[in-house]
Parts: sequence; structure tokens; C-alpha cells
Amino acid sequence: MKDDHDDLHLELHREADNLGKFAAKISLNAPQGMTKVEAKDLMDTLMVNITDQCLSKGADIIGHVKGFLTSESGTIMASLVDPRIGTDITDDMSSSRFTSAELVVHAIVHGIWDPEVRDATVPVIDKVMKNFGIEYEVLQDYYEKEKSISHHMTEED
Amino acid sequence: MKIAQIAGFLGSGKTSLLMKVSKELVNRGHKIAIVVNDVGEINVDARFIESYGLKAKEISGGCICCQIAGSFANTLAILYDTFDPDIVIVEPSGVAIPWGLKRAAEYSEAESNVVIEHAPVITLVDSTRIEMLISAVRRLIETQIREADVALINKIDAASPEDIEKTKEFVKSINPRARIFNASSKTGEGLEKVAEIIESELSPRYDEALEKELLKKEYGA
Repeated sequence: MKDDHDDLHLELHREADNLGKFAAKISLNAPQGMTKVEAKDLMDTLMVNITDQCLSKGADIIGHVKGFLTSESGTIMASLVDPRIGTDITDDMSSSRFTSAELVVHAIVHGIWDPEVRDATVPVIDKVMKNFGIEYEVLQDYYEKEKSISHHMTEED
Repeated sequence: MKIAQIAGFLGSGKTSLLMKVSKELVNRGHKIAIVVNDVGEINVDARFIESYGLKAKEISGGCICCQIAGSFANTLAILYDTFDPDIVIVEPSGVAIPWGLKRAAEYSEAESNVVIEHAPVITLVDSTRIEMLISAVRRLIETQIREADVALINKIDAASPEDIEKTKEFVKSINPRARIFNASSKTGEGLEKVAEIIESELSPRYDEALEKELLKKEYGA
């Protein structure tokens, strides 16, 4: 049953629905092996460049651009909320080199819509991976799901 | 079972605070469960929390305060029946509304013998970018602050004194009854206070009449 409260929820979520989202799960293969320092550099470069692209496409606020990397040597979490402050990176990773990893990237920004966020993210992933000499494969692209979630609230709700 | 929600817009520092406060509460002898919600299909935060040595239940694909309130209620009922935590710390999506989450949590009482109590609603406000937030998502930020029992002026390690003061004044103007504390997940400032509040204080249950009254006053609804 709908009431004033539900109407307010709906209105606020619609306001928040101006958030554009994109997420992807990617497998990485580093033939030469990768150290923790190099992996942190990779994560920082990804976060910064995705953020820059989102802003250049018209985003006015970064909700967050986050990445979570899992490898046999441990994990790295990277999060960028404010480009003035930069990427916050934490890790639980040993110093041993690793060759394969899984990376989840999630971007949510205000002011541009899902297709622009995807267009800001996918080419950056490709370019950064090439620059770091990493082969990659997108295992799952959450674009369609994210898009349907963003759009789930229609006038019929 | 006490529900402690840590609300706030995206990027306000909810996950970092939650992890540190959860560890503090575990060290104080509490049995803690964590529920993390994201409107998106994928949740990076749950992975991060688990890498920190905590178990997190992830609810994705909608907002637990309204769209998937049923899944949230069901999760709480299962947590109670299988794990019986003292405190469930909830990180709602950055677009959740605190009173809606209270209401959704109480739905779990219909699915189990659980009796829900609420810790004070804690809303984080990012003091480093208060002006940007007010300009882009003012109404959402206002609602999260208005429904808070405690407002945490967060990221004070990175904000200027002027921004911290501006954030406090903004919070006061929206919700004069909220207690206001400074916090920083980086330096640890305010974290013990947050743990104490969650541990020892209660917030009223969801009150539909009260919320309608507030809505009428604020929005003329």
C-alpha cells in the first residue's frame, strides 16, 4: 500500500537516479608477473583515469569509483571519491609476484547516465591494461543489470 | 536484536567507519553481523569487509529501505534464527532513507521470533565536499540528516576548519536535535564514541504517524 512516505521515497530515489552506474568483473593475466607495488599503481591509474573520464563527460559528483583486486598473493582495494584527495588504497597482499588476478570495477557518479559511465570506463580499462602489459578478459559486464536497476522506478510503481 | 544503521551519501565513508566500529564492538565482546546493501548488482564493499576479516551479508539489486525491503527483512530473520547476533550493523545504499530502513527491519518480526531494537541512526556527512553535495543532491542529503539521531561530520582529517564548521551549521539547520560529532576513519577520531552509542543507546521504533507529521511540516505532504 502506498502512502506519503512511499511517495517521498520514490521522489528521493528518482533524484538519486540521476546517478549513472557501471560495473565489470575482469580476469587479469600478467605474463611477466606483477608485484604489489605495480598492482597498486595499476589500481590508482585505473581509478584516476575512470574518474577523469566521467568528469569530462559531464559528471558533477563522483559517488565512488572503486576497484577490488583478488590474486593468489592477496587483495587490494582502491576507492576514489574526490579527485582533489586522490585514490585511497589498502591492501592485504604479500610481496610475492602474481600472474593472474580477478578485478571488480564499480563506478557510480552523479550527473551522467549509465551509457556515459560505461563509455568512460571500458576504454580506460583497455588502455590502462595495455599500458601495464596485462592481458584481460571481461568476465561479466553489469551494464544491462545496472541500467535496469536505475530505471526500475517508473510511473507505474 | 539491535539494528545499527550507518547512513550517508555515496563516498561519505560508511564502509571504512563500519569496519573499524565493527572490530571495536567485537573486541568489546559483542556478536556482530554486517549487512551491506548496494542499489547496483555488484557490491565491492562486501568483498572489502570480508578481506578485513569480518563476515558480511550482501544484499544487492535494489535499496533495502523500500525496493527490496522484503529481502532485508528475510535476511534479518535468517540471521536471527541461525546466528543470533547482538547487533546487526547495516550499511545501506547511499540513497537509503533511515526511517524507511527502520520500518523494513521491523518487517522481520513477522518472519521470526526476533524482536527488533534500533541503535541511534548515525548519518555520516562528508565535510570535504559539503558544497558539492548540497548543490547536486540536496534533498537526499537533507533527508538523511533530518532522520539521524547522530550526525558524524566525517573526514575531518582532510577537510578545512571552514568546511567542518560549514558542515556543522548545515546539519544544525536541518536537524537541531541531532547530536553532532567529528569523525575520521583514517585517524580513528570519534570511532570509540560511535561504538559506545551503538552499544548502549536506543532509538525509537519506526513511527508512521510521526514521520507523516514530519513530512507534512517539511514538504507539505
